[in-house]
Amino acid sequence: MELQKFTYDNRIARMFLNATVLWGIVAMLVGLLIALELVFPRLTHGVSFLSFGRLRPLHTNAAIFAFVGNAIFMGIYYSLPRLLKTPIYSQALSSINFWGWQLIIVSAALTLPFGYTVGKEYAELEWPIDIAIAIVWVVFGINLIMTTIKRRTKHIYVAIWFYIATFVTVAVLHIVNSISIPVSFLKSYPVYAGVQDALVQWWYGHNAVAFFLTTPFLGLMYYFVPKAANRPVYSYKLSIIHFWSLIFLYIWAGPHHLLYSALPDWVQALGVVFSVMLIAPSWGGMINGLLTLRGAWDKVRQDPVLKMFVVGITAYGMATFEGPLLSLKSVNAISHFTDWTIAHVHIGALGWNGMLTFGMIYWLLPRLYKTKLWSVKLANAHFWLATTGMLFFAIPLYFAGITQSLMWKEFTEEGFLKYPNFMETVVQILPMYFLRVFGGLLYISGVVLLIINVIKTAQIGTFVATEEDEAPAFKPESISGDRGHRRIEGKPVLFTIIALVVISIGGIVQFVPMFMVESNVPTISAVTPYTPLELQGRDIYLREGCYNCHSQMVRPFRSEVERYGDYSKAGEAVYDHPFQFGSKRTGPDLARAGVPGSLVHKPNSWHYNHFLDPQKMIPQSIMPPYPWLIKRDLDISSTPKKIRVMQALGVPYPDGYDQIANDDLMKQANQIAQGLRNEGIEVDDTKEVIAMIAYIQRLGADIHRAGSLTSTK
Amino acid sequence: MRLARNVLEGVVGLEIFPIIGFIIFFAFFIGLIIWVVRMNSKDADDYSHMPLDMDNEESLSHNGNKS
Repeated sequence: MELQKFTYDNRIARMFLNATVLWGIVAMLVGLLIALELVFPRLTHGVSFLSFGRLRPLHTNAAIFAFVGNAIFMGIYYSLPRLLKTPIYSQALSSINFWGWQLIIVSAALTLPFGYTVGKEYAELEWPIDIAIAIVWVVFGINLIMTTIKRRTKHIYVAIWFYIATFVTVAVLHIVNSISIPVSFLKSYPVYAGVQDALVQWWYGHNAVAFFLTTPFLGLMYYFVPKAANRPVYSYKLSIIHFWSLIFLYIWAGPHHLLYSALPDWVQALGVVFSVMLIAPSWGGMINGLLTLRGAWDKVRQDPVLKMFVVGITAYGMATFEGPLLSLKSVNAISHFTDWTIAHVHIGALGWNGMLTFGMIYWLLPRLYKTKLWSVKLANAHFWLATTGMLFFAIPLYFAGITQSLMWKEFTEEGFLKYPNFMETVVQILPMYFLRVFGGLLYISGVVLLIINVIKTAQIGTFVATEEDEAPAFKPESISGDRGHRRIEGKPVLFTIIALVVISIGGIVQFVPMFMVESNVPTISAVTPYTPLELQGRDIYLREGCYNCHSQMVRPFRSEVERYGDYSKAGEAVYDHPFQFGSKRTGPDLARAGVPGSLVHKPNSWHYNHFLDPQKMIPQSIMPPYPWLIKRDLDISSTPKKIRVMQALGVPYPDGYDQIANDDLMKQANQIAQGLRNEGIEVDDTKEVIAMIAYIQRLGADIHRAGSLTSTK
Repeated sequence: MRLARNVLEGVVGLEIFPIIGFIIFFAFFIGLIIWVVRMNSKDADDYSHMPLDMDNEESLSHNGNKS
């Protein structure tokens, strides 16, 4: 058969490699800064764009989409053409993919710290950036699918199945979760509200973990581990079973992020069942990865690449054992809202994603630069720093999470909360927060060693811009006689469609009843839309990222009802675009902050002083001060548009209310400000803090005023 | 939309959704197992060698950092 000659382009892989390293260190440094802010809350005193609530989304977005995202593209653009024996379909699309992605990252860095956010975790970016993400992602998808169509191999190797599933699912997740109506160029409201928004968000959030942090990396594992060990994957048949079960099961598991919340029980039950089943395909992947090294363990001792792969895959196994465990309602009752979650995700991010990425980079460097790695010793040192750093990061946080949760739940013999003061439970775990900083520092120093190796290896070697290869041409008719799975494997477009169907089933079964059946969200007649001032205040709450530390979801436990007040109901959040249930309680829950008698209820003057100087009100507080809320004037020019968008979303403001909304706003602001002035606080009606106080005093007030629940159904 | 909502609201026993979900998965999984068991082992072995199947691998590996 005639051999055709073609070349592989290493330039695009190198560009993504450099971007991975650059954004990796940025993401981690931001993480270090916010970890420091938790132990030194006044570290960036008064600098709004460096406050914890603004930077935490930057850290998570940078770690996920910038560091891991670039690593995914690096690995795919290197492995895809080699597995298919063909060049990447279009170099132009590769370039658009690269520069578009970097532009998106830069726009995230320029918006998130300045408070431009949707207020949904890991989906904080505002609508113009969301559109850009969709476009660049589709460009990547075209390149991926077209390269697969133009291949010279008959079979499509399993790694590419994972790449295709990644492309399809992330596209669906991103588009469905990001649908919103713009208010202005950098402000929008999601179309979903309350528990429905929560369901969509955690379907997205959980599957971002699944299809952005897991499936592409499993694909990369199936290429780079065999390469580095110079052995084929342990069981190819296992990889087929584990691929299809993994993508099918993962999509159902999102509701385990909302256990004991106001989400209907049947959705929670689905989430638990599928999360528990997920351990099987997850461990199928781990076992396949580790057993690929059978007979090569002697190499693991010397080769930093294999060492990193082993620790990475083991971390994957640990995290995917822990995931189903955390999805059990009894465990979740303890773990949820605590640092246990933070520890769990960092085993995944630092261990699985981090280690695999570093391993791939150390493996690629000598090949891209046609030389030896500049220093294997340094790479080994990196391995140890990363491993110990990860442990120093996670173990203290496991300890902190469990300790704090048990303190929240502890009662005295007389039946009172043993630690009614939230602050006591925070002080108890602060030493663990210091240890976390130390762990992070170790991990980052490892990355510094990586950067040195990247630069030095590039200096001593010569870059191989293109590599030549040859293979016989592929005849599509050769698959026409195949049956079953082999037929699907031979047809990338059909394969993509089947993958799309498989990942859609879980979402549809959960969404359709949630959106269609009214009994799933019982309405409460006492719950009315926010006043214009409260709405503006809520937008400041979103802008400052308060949800990063404060939940708004009282779970139906005696310890929580005692501490905060009546447990949260689905009907309370029907006008919440977006929902603000939160996922972490670094500070107390605020769902009942507006209910007199709740332990978290405080007078207006307290809030004013607390925003200005939290440590003056609670000396041990780790909340940062918000002096800019006191200084800045509220922008009320946006009120009419915001009311109109809310009306379009179905919030029942009266017709024409947008025209008079600001009158009501000024009236309410004057009332609050006058109250503060009566207590001797010098403040204008127009300041942002007034709107913020109005919003906080509204939380939970509706059903409290009504006295008891009245369901209209 | 309104119509669909009314129809779905009338559906009795939404509680069986988890069971339906499980049955769908179970059927899917059994089908998959049958597929894979019937798969030709020689083919599977060939496929698993695809990443290693590079003519210039030899020349690259001793430039690499491995011993």
